[in-house]
Amino acid sequence: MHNKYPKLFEPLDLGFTTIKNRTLMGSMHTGLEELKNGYGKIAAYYAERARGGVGLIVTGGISPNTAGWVAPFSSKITNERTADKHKEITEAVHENGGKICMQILHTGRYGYHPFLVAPSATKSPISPFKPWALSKRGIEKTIKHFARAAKLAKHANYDGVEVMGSEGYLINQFIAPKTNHRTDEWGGEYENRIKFPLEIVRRIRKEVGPNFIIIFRLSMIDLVENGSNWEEVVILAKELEKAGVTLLNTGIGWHEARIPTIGTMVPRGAFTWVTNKMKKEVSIPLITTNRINMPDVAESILANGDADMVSMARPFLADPELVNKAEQGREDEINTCIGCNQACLDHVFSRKVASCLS
Amino acid sequence: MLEMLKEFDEVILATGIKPRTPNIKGIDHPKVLSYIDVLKHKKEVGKKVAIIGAGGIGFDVAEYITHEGQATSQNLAAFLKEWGIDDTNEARGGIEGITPEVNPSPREVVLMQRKDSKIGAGLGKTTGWIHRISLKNKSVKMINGVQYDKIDDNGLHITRKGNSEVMDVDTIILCAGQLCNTDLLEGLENAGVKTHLIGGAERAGELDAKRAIEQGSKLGAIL
Repeated sequence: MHNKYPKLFEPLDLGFTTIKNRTLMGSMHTGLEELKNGYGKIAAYYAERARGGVGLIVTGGISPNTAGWVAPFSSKITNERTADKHKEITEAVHENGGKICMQILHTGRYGYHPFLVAPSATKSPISPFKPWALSKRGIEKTIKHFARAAKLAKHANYDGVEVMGSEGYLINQFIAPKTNHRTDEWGGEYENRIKFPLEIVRRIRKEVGPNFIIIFRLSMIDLVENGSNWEEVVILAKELEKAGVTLLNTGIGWHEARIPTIGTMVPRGAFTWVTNKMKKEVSIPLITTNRINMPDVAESILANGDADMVSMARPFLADPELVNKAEQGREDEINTCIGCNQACLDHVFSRKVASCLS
Repeated sequence: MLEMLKEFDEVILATGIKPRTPNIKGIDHPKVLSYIDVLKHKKEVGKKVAIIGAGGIGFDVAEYITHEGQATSQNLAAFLKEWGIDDTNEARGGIEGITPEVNPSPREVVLMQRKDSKIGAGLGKTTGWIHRISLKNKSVKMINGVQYDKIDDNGLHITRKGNSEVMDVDTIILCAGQLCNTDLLEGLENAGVKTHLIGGAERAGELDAKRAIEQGSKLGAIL
């Protein structure tokens, strides 16, 4: 047992596999993905974080099809040829003692291209393009594409997948009455609106078998009008557990929410109480997130029982060795993420490669 | 200083910037302060304030003079109240029916710029909106396309869209850009010392720690 961070360095036994500590490197797009020799670059980037001691890495979002990509020619996974290229990434992480899940992200109406699809044809306030409403056939196909992406992730030797169900992306758009105005079996009552995520998880589980991590990133507080209420979030969480989810990750706020959730002005660990509220509702391990930037912050969140794992994204961009430094008592050497977004998210949203100010 | 530096083979000047003083009639009036006076020297700021220049520094100064006591970034309960988040998460979306409770500003502030562009357009892509909302919540008035005519005992005289008006303010804070501080450069070059400029000393426009750190790292690697 680690004497300073006993919770942080306690392994997490998932039955079929064990994660060596409670740190998760959260999904973050870096812009390396789309560069020439991108796979080699991204492999080196993740390998460095695996070497630095991260328990479980989640990749930047990979689309299950063309409609779901972030922007034209963003990463997607639709065939074995692409999956084989991903083996360079998984091999590099495994060689360095890490584990890695591939995030499946369908942006829905948040994409930056004119062929967007969503449950209903309403434009988001932060996108220039209006989406097309998915047909019933289109929905069935999209679910299949999610399952196919998971199968290909397994083929590429990933340890699991994360299904992006929060931040206002496609799955979240189905769940919320704000964006789902359908009158067929995929809209209307709440049980209809959550069929899309549940069907995706069931089909993925069927495709990948029992010994494969499925993380579902669940929006536990939408921070937009006409989002879900807590009762509904709990219903979905319980159903996701039944459908075969291994770990439940927390999503805080849609991208279009006008409330800061990750900036410098947000207190450290400002939303872990949201995850804490879910603790008594499900039995699968929970991951919490947002403005957790240093090992002592992470430890106190775990010690408080808010969650079973902590997700940090930008802090691992700032310092790939954060975990090792904490373990070895070299915290004063950690390059601390100040949440400024200047060289990471501001770069990515200007289609430049992410870096770090500090 | 210069004598000491002449001993070195190469010198990196990271001496930063000097605030630019705009050429406005009455700029020497006692009502006028620079942002350095306010942030560094903690000079007293009146109840009614005009800020000249709405770049990153103008925004920072506006935030600084419109808050009192502990920052909400250090107090979770206050943060949730400020942004109208239900701390029990029972409200739909965590926000519906919750009215934000913003600590009112102790001052009336007007943030002004000469350019016709949207105020705060040059701020960070993923954080600029937060700064704009924060200042609106503090009832800061933001006006663009301002021509500064003069400053006197009555306040700041401006013309906007062809109309002249006097802003009756106690304090005028200058956040009107900066100039490179390269005071040492000429002496070093005359003495034949190889001198490099980085950060604000190299380019004062769009002052940016990110650029300065990048220049420093790259130069360090080369030397």
